Amino acid sequence: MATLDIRRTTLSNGIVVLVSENHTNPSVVLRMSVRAAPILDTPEKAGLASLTASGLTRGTTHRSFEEINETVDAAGMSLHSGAGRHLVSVGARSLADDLQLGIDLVADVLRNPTFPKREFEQLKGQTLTSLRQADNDTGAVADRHFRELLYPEGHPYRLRNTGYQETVAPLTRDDLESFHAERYSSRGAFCVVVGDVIAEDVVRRLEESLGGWEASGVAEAQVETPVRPTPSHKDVVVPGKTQADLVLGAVSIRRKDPDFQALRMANMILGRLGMMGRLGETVREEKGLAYGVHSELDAGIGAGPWAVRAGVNPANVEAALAGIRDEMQRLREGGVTPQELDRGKSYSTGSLVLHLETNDGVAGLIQDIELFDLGLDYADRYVGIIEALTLEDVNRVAAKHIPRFEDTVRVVAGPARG
Amino acid sequence: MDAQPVQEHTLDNGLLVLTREVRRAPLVSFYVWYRVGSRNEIPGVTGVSHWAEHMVFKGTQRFPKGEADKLVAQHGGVRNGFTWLDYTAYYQTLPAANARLGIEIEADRMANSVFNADEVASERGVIISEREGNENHPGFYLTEELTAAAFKSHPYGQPVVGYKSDLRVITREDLWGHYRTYYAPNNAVAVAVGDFDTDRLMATVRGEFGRIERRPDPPAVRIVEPEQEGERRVTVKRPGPVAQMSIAYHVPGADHPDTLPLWVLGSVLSTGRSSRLYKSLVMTGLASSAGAGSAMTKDPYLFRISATARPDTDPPKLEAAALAEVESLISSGVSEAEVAKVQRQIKAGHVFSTEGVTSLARYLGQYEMAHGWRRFETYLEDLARVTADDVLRVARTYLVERNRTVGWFLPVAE
Repeated sequence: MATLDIRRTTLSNGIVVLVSENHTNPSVVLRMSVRAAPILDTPEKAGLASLTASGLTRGTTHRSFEEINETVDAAGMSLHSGAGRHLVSVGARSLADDLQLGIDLVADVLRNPTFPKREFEQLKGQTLTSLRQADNDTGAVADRHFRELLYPEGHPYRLRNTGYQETVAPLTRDDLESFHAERYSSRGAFCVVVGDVIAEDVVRRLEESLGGWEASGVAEAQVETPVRPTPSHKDVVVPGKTQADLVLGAVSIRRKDPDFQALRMANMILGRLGMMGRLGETVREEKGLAYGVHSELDAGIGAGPWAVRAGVNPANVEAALAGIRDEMQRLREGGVTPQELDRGKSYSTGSLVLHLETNDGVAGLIQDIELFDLGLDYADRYVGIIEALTLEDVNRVAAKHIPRFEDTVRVVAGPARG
Repeated sequence: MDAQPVQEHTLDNGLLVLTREVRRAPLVSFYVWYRVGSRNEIPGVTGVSHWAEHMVFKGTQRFPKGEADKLVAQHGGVRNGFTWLDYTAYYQTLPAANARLGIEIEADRMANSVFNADEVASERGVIISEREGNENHPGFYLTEELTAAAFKSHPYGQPVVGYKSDLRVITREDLWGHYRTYYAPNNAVAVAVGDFDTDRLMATVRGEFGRIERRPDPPAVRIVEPEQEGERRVTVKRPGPVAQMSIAYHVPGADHPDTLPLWVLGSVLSTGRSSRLYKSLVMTGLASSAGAGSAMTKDPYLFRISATARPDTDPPKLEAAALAEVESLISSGVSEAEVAKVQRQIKAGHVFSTEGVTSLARYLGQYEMAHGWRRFETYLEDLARVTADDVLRVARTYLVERNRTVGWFLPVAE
């Protein structure tokens, strides 16, 4: 019953506009998505797409960085540009009265960034500091090695979106300017607007600001599924830490894989539902080994990883791994119970209204609908899709896609273990 | 309008109930807030409030362990609990048709939690793991040391999660005693926000909570932090990626009229990229990030200015730049335009952050814990009255050398 009205229109240059009106709160969320994302990065320049996205707001041919900041802060709005794995998102969140200002700023920073030298150096310094922090963060270190063991050289999912100290340090403002010139265009771009607005009015304003932006460059990038990696285990020492972060998993499936909903359900029962699912019950509640343990399915345009993550005392790593191994085996071999499936279904369908309560929540769903071709009536069909999942589906898919523990890639990052 | 005014109800057993009908989405968020947190803890049992919060998720006769989690998920809801200086709170946000479940779970939690000894033993590992996860972040040590140095007597100086030495020895009796002392209807506030009919919701609340007996009033916290008589400094030297700085100044509790001018001051210094600290610390390349501001607390707490140094920054330079910015503000004041900008930022932020029923109910509860929910209702009007003179006055009063504690995290090789 949670319906979502989405109006989908195409501007004269092909930019898709998706608007959902919500008049309960005088605010608006605007999110423009373009394809110049980190999956286009090369290993040598990992982080270039992300740094370019962050650099968009640092000055344009019409506005200096200071002018952008003064304008944004005076309106009490937020202007954001950043890169996810598949999309660069440039957006504004503002009071509804400031819709036009948000559109002007988003269009300007997308089309006319100048990457001024001083602002570029400052941004790069900030980025290098946070990459240095990431190399000292057990979770981020574990994830880096996990991806490197999971995906072969050259695969876009192998790289960290924001890059590494060694690949970002040599980047110049000319790199950003070239990347922008070559990769940014209206081709494959789409704009989601949710809030206290009128759809026709939004479309008219966007046509004025963005309708003249040329379509060139890349559209959707393809991501090859890698060959199965060799199972392996790696320990990485991060000095000065108390706790170890462990991650284990395997290459999983694409979002468009027909098994997606069933696998998502199996994963939810294993490591999310209630308090972190079966993993939470065993590793946290019964054994008291960890504050946090969960499993996640990152199905993207390509086959993303399925992973279990936990933070544990170094002395408990083996016990935690054993508990995780047992639960993976139990799920693969025994499947889920009818009660668990019922509970998972009613959570998935019942919580839809909660996920669509805020403009950000709605905008996120619409982005997924557009990126993965889910159909404008996806929110209406969603309950039917979930209800149609059978025990056989879920158990077949669990046995097929939840890896054997022995086949996983495992990384433990933390203090030296004796 | 889709949002009605807040209504206040008091049950015979002393439970205060705040309700607000908001019909934007078919959801109801139901919280219970207890007036107990690390503020009520004495040395030796630091972290007992937070640990007790974990224990009241361990089940009762009516909802055996894991059952409430399963039921809430099954009904399409979310739930959680959290502990801070002044409060321990729990909530369920559920589709409106299932709102009753949240009320049942919270009434049962208040009266019938078990604190089984085996569960206490296994939870010790979880609690220590939570603390150790925090310890992996250098900023955690800095905050713990700085706060401890700023307070020599008031319990606000102790970490909410507790010291590890205390977490190793806290007993089942400590936890149970805490629960029996503080989890009383007369020490709690229930908050319901969402798509409901108040009379019908209150009938359920009275039915579930009305039978819980009033308990003796918990002991009052009488400690008053002595005035600081000069700058204090702390340094943490541990392996880590970069240096971090935090400067803390004592400021009054939330019921003091200087609270809102202090919030505006925090925003003048650090909200947005046109803010003073962004310009003087981040744009200059000294820091990768900077922040400033104070919290809403019952007793006097801290206004903090914090920054993460860039790897090549000399720490004393960063500290001098931050203090120079404070000096410049105190000597030259702030402009009305700056204050107007901040008021617009805070007003817009208020609209964004009260979009959902879960956050609306949370604000009401937080205000009630600090100094009364009515301040939340008048927040934007009160904010509009803050002037540039007020901001200058509070900066001159509190951001002074004798009132500050300066803390540094300095990375060293292991």
